Amino acid sequence: MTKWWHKWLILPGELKRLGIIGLNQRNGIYLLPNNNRKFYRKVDDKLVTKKLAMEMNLAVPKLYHVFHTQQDLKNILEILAPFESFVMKPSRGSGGRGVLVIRERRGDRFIKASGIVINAKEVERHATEILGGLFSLGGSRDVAMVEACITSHKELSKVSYQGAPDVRIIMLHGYPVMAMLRVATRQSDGKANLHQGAIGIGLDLATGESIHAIHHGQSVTSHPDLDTELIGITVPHWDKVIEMATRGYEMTGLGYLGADLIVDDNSGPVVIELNARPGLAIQLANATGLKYRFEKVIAQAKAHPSQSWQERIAFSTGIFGRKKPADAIL
Amino acid sequence: MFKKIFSLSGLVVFLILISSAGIIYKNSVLGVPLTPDHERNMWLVEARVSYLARGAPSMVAIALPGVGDRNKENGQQISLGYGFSKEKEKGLPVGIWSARSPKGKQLLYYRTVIDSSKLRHEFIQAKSRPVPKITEISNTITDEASSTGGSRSVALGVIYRDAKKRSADDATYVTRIQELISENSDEDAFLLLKRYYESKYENEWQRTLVIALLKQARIPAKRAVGVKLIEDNASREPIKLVQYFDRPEGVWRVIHPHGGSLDNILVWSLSENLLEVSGGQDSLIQFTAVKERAPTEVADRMADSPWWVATISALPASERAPFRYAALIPLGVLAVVLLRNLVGLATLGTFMPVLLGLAFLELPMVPALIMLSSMLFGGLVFRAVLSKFNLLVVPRVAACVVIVTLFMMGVSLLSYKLGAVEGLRVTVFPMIVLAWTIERMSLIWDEDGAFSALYQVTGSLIAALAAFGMMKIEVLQYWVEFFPEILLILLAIILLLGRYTGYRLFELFRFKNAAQMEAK
Repeated sequence: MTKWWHKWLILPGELKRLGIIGLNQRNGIYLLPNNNRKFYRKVDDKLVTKKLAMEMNLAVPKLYHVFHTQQDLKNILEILAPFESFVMKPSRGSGGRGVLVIRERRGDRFIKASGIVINAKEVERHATEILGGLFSLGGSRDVAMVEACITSHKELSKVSYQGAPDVRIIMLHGYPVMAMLRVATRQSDGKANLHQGAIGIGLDLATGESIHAIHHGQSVTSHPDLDTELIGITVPHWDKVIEMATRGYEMTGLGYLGADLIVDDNSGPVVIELNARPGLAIQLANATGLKYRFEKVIAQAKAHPSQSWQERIAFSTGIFGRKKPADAIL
Repeated sequence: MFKKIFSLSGLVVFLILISSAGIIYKNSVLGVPLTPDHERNMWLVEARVSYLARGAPSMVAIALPGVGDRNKENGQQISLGYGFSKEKEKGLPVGIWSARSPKGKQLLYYRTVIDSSKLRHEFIQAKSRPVPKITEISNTITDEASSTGGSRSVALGVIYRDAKKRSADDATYVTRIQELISENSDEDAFLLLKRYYESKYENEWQRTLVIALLKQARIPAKRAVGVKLIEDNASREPIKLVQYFDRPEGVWRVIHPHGGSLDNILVWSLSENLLEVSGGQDSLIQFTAVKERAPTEVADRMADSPWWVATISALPASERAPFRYAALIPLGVLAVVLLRNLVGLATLGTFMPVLLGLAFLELPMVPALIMLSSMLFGGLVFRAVLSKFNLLVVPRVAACVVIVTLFMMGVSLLSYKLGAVEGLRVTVFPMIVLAWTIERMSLIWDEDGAFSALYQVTGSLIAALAAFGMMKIEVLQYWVEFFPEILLILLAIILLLGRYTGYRLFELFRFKNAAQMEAK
């Protein structure tokens, strides 16, 4: 029931009943007790993540080069010359900050995902800023990694205004709990961050089919720039996507974990990054609170400790998949 | 899980117990009142003498407050390795420190408690001393200006006759002279004297000239020393005053040379010589005034008790001020914790707002806000220019610090020149924090757009104002000063807040659309 005050706010009691989790609850109950500090490095440093993922045979974007110091930038043009498209990002960036996506080159000019053209000087400056630690946690020095630019799967790129849509899956104790697809808009400048204006699309955990979408916290059904339908699309290779995300738990040992993947047009899903502090907007995108799902997962993990990833996926898709009426939380 | 919570609550209970024990002890045994006494007008005024000793026998004489026997002087001195005695000189109390062979920089303190409701600016001539006679006075006019230099004595005469013409008696004559000084008259005679006195007496010229002009009219006049009772955590120079003898009333009246108000000004001494140092050089005397919020005897008892560690009453007032100031920081921090974890306000830099709040404590609010926003704006513009040069991050922020500093100096000089505010102090804004704030703000501006950047700046400002508000509450200021153990309770509150897992206020707005979830 929508009440008059819902135009402005929702009462704490109502949120609680819906099972919506707030930041304090996420940090105090799910994140801090389950995420051991010493494992953070595995996800906060993308170079380490990449290495670990490769060891587990999880596909990742190919690493072209790493710039460690200002000296390395001297012949940046020669190093980047062979790559028609690439992504440059800080190894320890947070919240998608400092990610430069070059999708195409035209001579000395670089074309960003958003279509804006920049020159070599600007690419170099971006690398300088990354090295200086401008985008990194705590502002400490960082390294700039250059990796392959993923060509998004056609099925997904048709709902995104430039930029590759990515899939975010949240896991607790290694059980997938909720998933969403994030697609860029004109406003988000080719980026898939919700607070920058990207669209969050809730996914059915069993099938990867979109069920609900939000833009700036409001429910939407079509893309504001492209006018394409957002509900009812299916993420290709969903079984592979959920498998790779779930195995991220074995890789990191983090109890509360978010995995970001992109589905490549040729090679299928690749792991972009893992996140030890995934946000809460996924609840709005799915129109579902996380709390009741968390509780079920905790009960399951307690009853059947150390289940394999196959078992965990089976449990989650079975209980949280849309098709089953048993999941009628709301 | 249970064990964890238990140990935390155990710690919280422990902290609260210790803190309450201290508070109860101080309240019941030492008699420290739990609330500040608003009626009290007691001020602790401290003179701080510093000089460079040469290693020879040294003597430091300082004029002490109190006139005649009427005002019982109850001050105390603080010094290391000095003997101290109080003496009378021409009926006025003088304190004398002496030491055999001090070396290096010396610090001597004398402090006394003053009731600001009983400030007097006129003093009855003590019976024991002869009333100054006019003839006697005329002989004492040995001031160079009148005995030598023909043109100067002519000028003095011109001004004297002119002022005399426009006044009815001594009192109005004095007022007329004060007006001349404050108007900065452009009469030739006055300009001549002003130029001479300025070059000869520097910052003493006003009162020396006034004294000379009063003596010209045969009004006995001398120097006097004042201290402004204002609580701004600063040490300040003594105020240069003039006293003249009001013959019909038989009192010495203290005035400002330029006729300014004497509100809240304590006449420290009627003595001509405030400070005399032998055996040293570079002597300097400064005064600090601190409002005493607890009765004097209580402060003494606290200073003497074994609990002295837990109180700042035992420190010299000039050292106490920064201490007091530091003790407020946890209050500001609590405000920020509340705003971030209970309200959900986003700020640039976690505790940056506390530093801003501290700056607000030092400055008048509106100018501080104007200054801050102009500095942020200037810094952002400069940062935009800098970004063209491809600078490394640290040098870029450093350049920003320099520019912000210069900008701030510029704004304060400008405001001083315009007379808008009483000289904004440059040092109070945490410049380096500001520079990083500008850096981060411009970054957010680039990445997330102007709205995000302004949103976070507004959040920071609101948090700074809240921290300021928290630190400004008088009862809390009193408590952290006299019951510093209250900070343990604050710590307990912060620990408990660390376990708060409920919703933040802003989440109620953020998740408002979740209300439709039920309908589906």
